[in-house]
Amino acid sequence: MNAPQDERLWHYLDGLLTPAEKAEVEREIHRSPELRQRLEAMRHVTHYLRAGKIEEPSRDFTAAVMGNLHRKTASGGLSPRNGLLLLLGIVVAVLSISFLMGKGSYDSQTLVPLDQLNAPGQVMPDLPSFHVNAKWIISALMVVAMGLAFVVLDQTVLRPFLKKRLLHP
Amino acid sequence: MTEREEHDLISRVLSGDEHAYRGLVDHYKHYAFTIAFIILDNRAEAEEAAQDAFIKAFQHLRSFQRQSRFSTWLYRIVFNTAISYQRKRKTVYHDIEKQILLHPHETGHELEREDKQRFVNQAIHQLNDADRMAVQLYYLQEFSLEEVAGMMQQPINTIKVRIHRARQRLAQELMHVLKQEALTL
Repeated sequence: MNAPQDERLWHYLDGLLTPAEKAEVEREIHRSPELRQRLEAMRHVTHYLRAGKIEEPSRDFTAAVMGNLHRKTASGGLSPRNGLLLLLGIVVAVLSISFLMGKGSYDSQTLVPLDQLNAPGQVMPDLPSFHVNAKWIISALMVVAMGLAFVVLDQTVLRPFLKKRLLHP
Repeated sequence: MTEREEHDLISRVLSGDEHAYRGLVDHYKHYAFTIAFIILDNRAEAEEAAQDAFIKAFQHLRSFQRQSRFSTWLYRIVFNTAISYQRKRKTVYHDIEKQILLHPHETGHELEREDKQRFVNQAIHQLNDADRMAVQLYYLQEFSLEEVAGMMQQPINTIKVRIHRARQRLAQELMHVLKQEALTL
């Protein structure tokens, strides 16, 4: 299709041409069977698009809205695909850390010497030194990660799946 | 409903009369549902998305700036809600009627008006989503370019390009069918 010519034909159908331009387009259409065919296709498309009807919602639409005004609406959260990816990421991270823990990578303890933080000339209260057990912290983080994994599974995979089954049995 | 009546209803809702919201739902539900249906192409999902949008609009009514029209604000919420439904779903559900494919090469007869209609309907679903939505919303009664741009949160020029590209593509597809028809005569 010839783009500038088509643009003119669309404008002709939309009634955007001046009377002189309109008369010129009509002369061209009269002369060219190809242009007539093109215009017919365009006219049909316009007719079809204009015939797009306003859809009728269900009879209990208003009642359904009014009965749920204080319901928590679906948020724009994760899609099932992204949810699954996040879930997979968490599971891989937990498994990797479990493997490293099994190998003894976090068995060492770190001393945090707070009593040596006092800068010269500054009056600081005496602070005790203590040991940080990396294994204990990592275990706690893993429990949190597993909890998060269950929430992600529930919100982005299980609930949408069950909802869809209810909507489209 | 005049703009003043609309604002009165909104004021009543904001002052605690929730039942006044029924008037707004009744007035706008057809367009809201149609917009959601254009985007989702599935009645059950469109119904749910449109209802969700009305509930969101109710819960955020205080943030509505009365300088703009309530419909513009509401339809934007409907559009965003339907888009988020579309993103979440994995399977695309089409009405059975739209799955009846018309293959132009298989018909020896002149394409009847109804067949052409069905063909354009089929072709429109092959457009990219944004172009399809822009052209369908634009031709849906009442909506101007500015309103479609506001709803889709895109510049007017982008919407113009989308509409032009979409209908050009549709005409091209239809031209192809008409040529095939001429060859088989």
